[in-house]
Amino acid sequence: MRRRTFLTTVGAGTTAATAGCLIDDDEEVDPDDDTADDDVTDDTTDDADDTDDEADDTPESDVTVGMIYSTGGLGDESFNDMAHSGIEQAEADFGIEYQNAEPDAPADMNDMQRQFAGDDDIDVVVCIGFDHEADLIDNAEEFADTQFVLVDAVVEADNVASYVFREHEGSFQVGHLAGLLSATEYAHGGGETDPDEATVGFVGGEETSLIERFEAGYIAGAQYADEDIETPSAYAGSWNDPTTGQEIAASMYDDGADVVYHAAGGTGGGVFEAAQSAERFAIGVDDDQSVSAEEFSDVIVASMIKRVDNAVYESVEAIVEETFEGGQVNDLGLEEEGVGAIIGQDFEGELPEEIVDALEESREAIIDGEIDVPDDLDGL
Amino acid sequence: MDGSAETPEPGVGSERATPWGGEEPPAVHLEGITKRFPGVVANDDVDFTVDRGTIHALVGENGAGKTTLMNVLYGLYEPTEGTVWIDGEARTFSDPADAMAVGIGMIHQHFMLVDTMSVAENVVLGDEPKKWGGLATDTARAVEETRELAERYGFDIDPTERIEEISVGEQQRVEILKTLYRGAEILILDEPTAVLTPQEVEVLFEVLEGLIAEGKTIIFITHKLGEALRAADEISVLRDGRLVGTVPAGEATEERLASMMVGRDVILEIEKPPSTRGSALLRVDDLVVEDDRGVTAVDGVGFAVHTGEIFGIAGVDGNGQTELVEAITGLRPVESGTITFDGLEVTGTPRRRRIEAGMAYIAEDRQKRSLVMEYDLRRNGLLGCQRLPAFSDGWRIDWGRTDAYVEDVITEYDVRPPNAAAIARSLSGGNQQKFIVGREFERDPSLVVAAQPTRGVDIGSIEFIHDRLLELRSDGKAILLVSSKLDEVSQLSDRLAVMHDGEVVAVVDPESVTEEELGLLMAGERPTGLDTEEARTERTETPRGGGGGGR
Amino acid sequence: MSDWRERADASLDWLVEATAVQRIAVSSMALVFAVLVGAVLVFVSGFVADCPDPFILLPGLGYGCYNPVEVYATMVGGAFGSFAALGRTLQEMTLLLFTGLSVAVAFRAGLFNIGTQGQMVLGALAAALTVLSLGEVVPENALGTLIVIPAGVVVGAFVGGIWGMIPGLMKAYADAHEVITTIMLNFVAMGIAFWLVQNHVGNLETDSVQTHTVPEVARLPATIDGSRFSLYALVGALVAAVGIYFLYTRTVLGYELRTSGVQEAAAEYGGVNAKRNIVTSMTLSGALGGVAGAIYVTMVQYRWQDGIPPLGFDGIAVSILAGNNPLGVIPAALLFGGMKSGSVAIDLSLGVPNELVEVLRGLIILFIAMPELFRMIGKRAGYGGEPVATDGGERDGKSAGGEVKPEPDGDGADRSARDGSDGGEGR
Repeated sequence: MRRRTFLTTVGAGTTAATAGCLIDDDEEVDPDDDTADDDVTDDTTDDADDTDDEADDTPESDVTVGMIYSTGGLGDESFNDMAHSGIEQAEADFGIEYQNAEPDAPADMNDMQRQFAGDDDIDVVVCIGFDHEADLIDNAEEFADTQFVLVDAVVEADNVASYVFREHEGSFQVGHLAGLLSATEYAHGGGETDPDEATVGFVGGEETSLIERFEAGYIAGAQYADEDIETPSAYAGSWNDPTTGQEIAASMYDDGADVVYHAAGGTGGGVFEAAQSAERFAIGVDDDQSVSAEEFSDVIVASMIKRVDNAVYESVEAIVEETFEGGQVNDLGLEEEGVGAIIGQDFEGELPEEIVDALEESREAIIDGEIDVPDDLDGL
Repeated sequence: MDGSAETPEPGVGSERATPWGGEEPPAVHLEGITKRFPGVVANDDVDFTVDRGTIHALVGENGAGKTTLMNVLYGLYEPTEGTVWIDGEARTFSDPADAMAVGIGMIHQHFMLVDTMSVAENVVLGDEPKKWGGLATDTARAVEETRELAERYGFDIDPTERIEEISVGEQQRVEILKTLYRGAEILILDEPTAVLTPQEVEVLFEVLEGLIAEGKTIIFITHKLGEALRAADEISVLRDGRLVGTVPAGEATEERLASMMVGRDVILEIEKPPSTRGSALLRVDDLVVEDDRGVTAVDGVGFAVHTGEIFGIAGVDGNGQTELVEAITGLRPVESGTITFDGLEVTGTPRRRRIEAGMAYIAEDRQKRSLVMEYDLRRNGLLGCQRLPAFSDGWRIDWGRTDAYVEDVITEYDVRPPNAAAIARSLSGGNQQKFIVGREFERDPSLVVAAQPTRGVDIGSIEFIHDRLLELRSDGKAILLVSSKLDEVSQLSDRLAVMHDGEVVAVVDPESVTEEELGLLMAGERPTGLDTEEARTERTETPRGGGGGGR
Repeated sequence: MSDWRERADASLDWLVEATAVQRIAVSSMALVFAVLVGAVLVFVSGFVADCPDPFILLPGLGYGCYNPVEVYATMVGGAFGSFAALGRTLQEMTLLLFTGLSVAVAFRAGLFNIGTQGQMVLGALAAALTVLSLGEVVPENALGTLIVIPAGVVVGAFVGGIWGMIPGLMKAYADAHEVITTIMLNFVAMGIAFWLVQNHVGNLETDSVQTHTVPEVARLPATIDGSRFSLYALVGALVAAVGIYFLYTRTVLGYELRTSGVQEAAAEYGGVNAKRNIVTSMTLSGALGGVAGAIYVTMVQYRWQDGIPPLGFDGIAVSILAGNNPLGVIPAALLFGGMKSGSVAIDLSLGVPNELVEVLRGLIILFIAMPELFRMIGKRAGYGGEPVATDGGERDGKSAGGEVKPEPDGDGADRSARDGSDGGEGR
């Protein structure tokens, strides 16, 4: 399955998969993983291997999970689908059962949370997306005996485990990559850079503070590579408008951008199209989009991966192992490998050595706190 | 309408003498054509003949039945009674394609051209020369054929130009080419000059001459008498669905045609009871009103309508009467001048105030104005009365009293079907009008403005409405009657104003004026020695008096 | 072909003249058909889907995943099966009543307000901000609620009304077609609300684009446990429906509003300022949309949050289904509300994909609305009763029903086509 590798391990010269393998077939699991797992949640270390072994025997667990997605719904090829692949993997590994609920609007989330919470058969309710936050505050209090998992937002309650991501850290990494590429004369796959221009672009979906974190980290990363780089950015105003995405990205490429990074859901498809037409590069988001949007793999130089699947998988695992600890906030960044830059499948091993090395250096500097990545646009 | 095309039966009339009464069959002969719509007779036993190679003008007022008659000829309508003879053969058309097949083409007032296509493409549209085994249009041949056609008939037109780039007059010529391309021998043009400038009209007439020279036959519909006289060989006049007569253009004059159009048939002998004329209730001074396009339609009109009299306004349609009436009733803003009603100036007051002050109005276009076609009679009975104290307190409708009122109107004015729940649309024209008249008269107005009150109404209803108007007059109401039916307006009115081109040409005593004089007045000319109101006023004011007043 | 046409003509005539009982019978039959067609669809699609425990094995076809009986049973159970389910149904119904009435008010006056959604979104935001700020100053008891919630509803109605008035003004005085302007203004409304909440008036601590949650005092008290449904809101909606019914049948204002929309020239003849009435109708329609938004905030979501459900668009379908009759909107909203909560139940408990449930809902709406739609088309094209009589030849060809033409031309067809797309798209 996903033999994709994190930039870090490429840089380190090892070929082993890391966090990504948590949801992979057991053959792919590498002993190295254990350390990575420790970073995510303290209690899962050894269980990963155990459950992997059990997977072959189709294990039976009596845990039932209620999954409530965000309004993008299944089939979005990124956020919700990643969460879904996490629960599918948990089903395969632990034999749990799960039920899906797809709200049409945030207004449906309250009802769905309550119906799952009130259902005696359901042991844990996993809420995907920050829109769940406000309703969960009330419902967690009312349904104190039910365990909840919240992804992308924090609710401080004893029966809620929250998972948030430091998207700006991963975005810094891809920003750094983009900045370095723009300064280099580089051609591979379906694109090439224009060494005369030092410009990299950003396309957002809706202009929310979450997406601004992506933007802030990206711009900071690009500026880290080159202080004078131009970083045009624009928002399409929608998660589902590839046409506008294409128009924005095409004009950025026209203005000399070598790389455009999107954090715009379905709108990003238009960014990739524009990259192919302009024969430049693009950076994907959430998932390894050189795989999930394979027709564009020749221009997707990297993706800012956000391991929603891991979050779901690990929280369910904790329930199965009865090690679930409510009230904890799992803040996942580069260090925990909750986010990170992953090289596109066509570009693996094809990037200049010095760029890969520089990226590894900045990664470590962020982890060590030597680089302070901004999470909003103030001061950029 | 059911699409089952009956094959024409040739030689139906061969046993008796030819229906057209001659040896040589004419291009078109319509025999006894009657076309009825529910409640309305649009054409009534019309006989109509057009000889080959001539231009024939069909004139008449709006609603006289010109277009209906041509639609029968063109196959859009099947006649209720009567026969269409084309070149001596009786024909039945189920649709325009049948008519086209025997060489009848129609050029509508609104062109049916594709703006983005070339002249040639439009000409051949639907009947294109093909190439590649019918797969593609042979554009080159289309252009060539269009060019040949245009040259043959002396049209100055470039087949490769696009429709949106050429003038309206040229577009009209493209429409003509279209019908010629399809082999039309008889061309019908519906109001062809309405959209053209005077110069383009001249060009059109030259084009028509050219077509005649090639042996085509042309019928054109118009209500502009001057154009009919200028271009046609023969002119037929329709009035109220009937053919008044056909005259050779050389023997016709504009006055004669005008009086034929508006008519002075003595179909009704109106007994006018004596009445006492009282004070002036409605006064119009130096009124100027514009039409929808912003062109001055009423130009300095002034008159007064007194209680106990019917003040008539006569004139050919479209000379400002509509705008004048709308200005008086409050539906159209006034540019300058004043309207005084019952001693108060109402020039700028909204229509509702005028209704409340006792102004009743029978609108010219009842289906647009006086009735809501989708409402039942109950709701229509309220139209205009909804804020009168007898019908509501201004907020809640008193349906009980409204229903009683509507029942009363239905009974008193003999509206059929006598059912307040009937939808207005389902009533015949006469019954619709009786209902409107009843609604307006029964609420005891002091002034009635009646515009074309008997247009499109059957004879029985006409008499009924006339009687009611005279009753109101006896009751001391003031009545302003506008009608393009000359017999109606001159028999009912106590005084008669004739309008031409937005001006009142003269105010006359209808009993002492001849048909010829009225014809001249409607054409905008003042016959000498006419006994007009001004003349009389002058006589009373100047002591000279006497000299040659009467006739 | 002519045979087919005659039969179509006859059917349209029948439909246009059908009595209320006949129409209800037709709608019930349509419901049965919709369920049957849906059942076949569910059953068949069960054979192309993968599932862990199929309900049937047909030799030669393989495993069928979905049991149609179970699907419909779940839908009905989820709509009316328990008090909580009923509460959810009535909650949705209440909102749809307001949006349906908003659309119906305009329709009755001959105007197509496609902008209820935008009017609702802005009304909801205005109401949320009002109750949030008032909620801080009033006492936290029933009295406080009696102050805060009516204030929220009034402000919501006011803002929604203004947003409805704009296209009304543009229609009356600038001749801009209200369908176009209301659609455009929906986008503008959503954009304004989003921007305000994101940058100024919202809860800036969360990633979600939302306002703060309204305090207890600003929430409509829940009538049924397990749902947020409040009887007060439903009673308010029913009063509004009856009020609008009376407005159009008993009052001078209603008569004038309707006449202005149905036949502007006749309204002017009747001494009505038709232009001003167009503005009034649209304002009233928008105000009802705004009320829907206020109720949404105080009864359902307790805050304004980006991603307000398309209740305004569903209101168009509700109104069409009801034949634009304000009283008919009541059962139509109940049906829509029931299907909404029923389909959520399917989503939660059966493995049937959301999309398929949407199709089932769509089928029911389509089948029930179809006869009404044809009725409206037929009516506009002059079917039923005597064909239209025209007086003279000049307008014979132009008036829609001068002679009953098999294909309605001009205005009739245009309008019907528009009705169709409004109803069909739903959202």
